[in-house]
Amino acid sequence: MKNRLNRKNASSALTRDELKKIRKKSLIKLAAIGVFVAAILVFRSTAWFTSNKDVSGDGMQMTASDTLFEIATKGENVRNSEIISQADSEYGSGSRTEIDSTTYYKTGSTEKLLLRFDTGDSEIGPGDSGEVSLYVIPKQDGDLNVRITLDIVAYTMLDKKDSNGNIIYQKDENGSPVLDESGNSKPEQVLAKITNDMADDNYLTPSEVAEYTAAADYLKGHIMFFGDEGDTANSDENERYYYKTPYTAREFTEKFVNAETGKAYRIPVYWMWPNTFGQIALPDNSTGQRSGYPILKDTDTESKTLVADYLKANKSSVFTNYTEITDTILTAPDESTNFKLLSDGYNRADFIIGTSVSYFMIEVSVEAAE
Amino acid sequence: MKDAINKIKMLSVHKKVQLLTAAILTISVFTAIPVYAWFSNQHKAAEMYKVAYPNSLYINAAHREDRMYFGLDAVDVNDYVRGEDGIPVKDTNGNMIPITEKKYVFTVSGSNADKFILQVAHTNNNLFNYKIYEAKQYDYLEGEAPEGADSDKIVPAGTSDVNVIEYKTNPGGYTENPLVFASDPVNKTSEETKYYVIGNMINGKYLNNENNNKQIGADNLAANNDKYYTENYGENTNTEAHAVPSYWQAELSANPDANKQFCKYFVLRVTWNTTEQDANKKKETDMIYFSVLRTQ
Repeated sequence: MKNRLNRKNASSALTRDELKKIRKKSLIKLAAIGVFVAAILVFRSTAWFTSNKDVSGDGMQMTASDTLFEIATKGENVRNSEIISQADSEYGSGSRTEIDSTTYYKTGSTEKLLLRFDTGDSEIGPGDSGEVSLYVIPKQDGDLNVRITLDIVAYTMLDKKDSNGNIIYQKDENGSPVLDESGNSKPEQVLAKITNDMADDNYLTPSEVAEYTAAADYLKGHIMFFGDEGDTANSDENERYYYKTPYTAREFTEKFVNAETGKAYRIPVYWMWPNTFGQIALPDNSTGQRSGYPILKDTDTESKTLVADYLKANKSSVFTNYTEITDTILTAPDESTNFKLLSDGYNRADFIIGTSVSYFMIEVSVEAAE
Repeated sequence: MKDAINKIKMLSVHKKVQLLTAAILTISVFTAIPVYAWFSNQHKAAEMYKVAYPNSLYINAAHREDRMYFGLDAVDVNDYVRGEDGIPVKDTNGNMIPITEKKYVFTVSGSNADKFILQVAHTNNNLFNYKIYEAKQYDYLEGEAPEGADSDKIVPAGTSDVNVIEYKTNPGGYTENPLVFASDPVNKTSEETKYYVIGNMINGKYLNNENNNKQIGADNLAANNDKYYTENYGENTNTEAHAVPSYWQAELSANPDANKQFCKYFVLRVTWNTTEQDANKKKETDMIYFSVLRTQ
C-alpha cells in the first residue's frame, strides 16, 4: 500500500504528457503479460487436445499419434494375437483404412500397433526368416525422416504358482484335475517376460532366471535384421544369398523425400534366424564348410565387415562358448578348428533358445528424425 | 530492468514466494511441452512369434559321450578267450576258445523327433558280420548295488554275463551332447561304471545287398546300374569289390519323454569266424559309418 500511495503522490506532480507516457508503458506491460498468458493457454490447450484425443498409458509415458506421421501395417492376420495381448495389452489392431485401394491398419486410437501378415509361419526356429509389414503415413507434405529401432523381447511359458510357490493345476468344470496323455495333472500356464527380475512373480531360483536370461540373450544375438532382400532364385546356386544391408546396430533412419499426406510408404525390414554359423561369417565357401546359402553375398564386403564386427562385439549373445572365442578366432572362421568351435557354440545357443524361450516379440519403434 | 529489480526487492516475503512459484511453474510448462512432444513422436509396432522346440539328433559313444570314445579297437581274429591272468581259457575238451565277436555301445539321442533312420555304411574287406541290438543301461551288477538303489538301475537277475557290456565313463567326454536327462545324469567330474545289457536285434535291411553283408560284386552292381553304386562311382567299373560300401538302414521310434527328449542305447556286434561270415579274407582295414536322420 505504501508503494501505491507514493506513486499517486508522485503522479499528481507530473505533467499531462508524462502521464500519457507512463500509461503507454503500463499498457505495453499489460500486453506482454497478456501474450504470456495466451502462450501458456495455447500450450495448455494443445496438451489438453493431445491428451483428450489419443493419449493413453500412465504417467509420463504419454504417446500421442497426432504428430508428423502415423504408422500402419497390412495383411490378413495377426500372429499369436492371444499371446501378444497377454504380453502387452496396450497393443491394438489400429483402425482399418483404404489407401490407394489397399487395406491398411494404422495407429488410430491405439498408439501401439499389432503388425499383420499374409503368408509365413508363426512358429519358427533356426533357418526361418521373414518380413515386417511396416508403413508410415505422413500427416503433412514434404520430406519425412524417421528413425526405426528394432528390438527382440523374449517370453517363456511357466507353470503357474500360488503365493506359496506351489504349482496350480488345471481343473475342469467339475473341479477334477485335467490330465495329459501320460495321466499326469496339467499345470496352469502363465506367460512371463524374460527379465533379470522375473523371479519375483514366478518363484524361480536365481539359476533358473540365469538360464532364461541367457536364452533370451542368445535369441537377441541370433536374430538378425536387414534392409534389403538378396537373391535366392539365381540360376547359379553358388550366387544365391538371402539379404543385403544388415542392421547390426538395430537402428536405422529412413528418408522419404517429398512425401505426400495420407499415402502409405513402406519401411523395408527383414529378419532372419540363420540356421548355421557357416551361413553368417565365412569369407566364402572355398572350404566347403557352408551348408545352405550365405545370409550376405560373399562379395558384399562392406556388409560382411559389419556382421564380423557385430559378432566380435556380441560374442556372449551368439556363442555359448564365448569365453574361448577370441577376435583372432573370429578373424579366421574358416580355419577348421575355429569353425568347429564357432559352429558348436552357435548351435548350442540355438538349442538353449529353443528349450527356454516359448515366444518372442519383434518390437519396432518409429520416431521422427532430423 | 532496474525498475523491475527494485520492485521485486520491495515486495513482501509472501509476494516474493508467490512470484518465485509462478516463475517456476511457467518454466516447467515450457520445458514439459517439448518433452511431451518428443514422446508423442514415437510409435510402436510389434508381432509375436512362437519358438519351435528344437529338433536335434546326436550320435555318441556310450552314455552320450563324445564320439571319439566310441573306440573300435583292433580286432584280432586269431585271439582266444583269456582269463584274468591273461592265459587262454580252455573248454571241457581242453581246447582254447577262439574269440569270434566284439561288442561296442553307442547312443542315439535327440529332441522333438518321433522317428529316425539309423544308417550304417561299411566296407567288406574282412567280410565281418555286423548286427545292431537295442541295449539298456544299468548302474549296478546284480548283488553289487548299494541298499535302497532303484531296481531300475540294477542289471536284472538271470542276465547272462555274455550279454552284459561294462563301460567306464570318461568325465571329460561330455562336450558334444547338451541334452540333459534327469533320470540319466552325466558325471563330468568322476569316472562311473555303466552296464549295458543287449536286447533285441534291430531289424534293418541292406539297401544294396539283399543277401545281407555278403561280398558285393562291384561289376554286378555297375552292370545293374545300382543307384548307390553309380552315386559313388559313376560309370567306373574298375572298383575293388570289397571296398564298395554296403548300406544298412532301420527306421526306429524315438518314444520321446515328457520333455520331448529321448536317449536310446545300441550295441554294435561284430562277428567273425562263424557260419555268418562268408570267408576270412584276412585284410587289414574296414570302415564303418553311423548316421541318423530324423523322419518324423
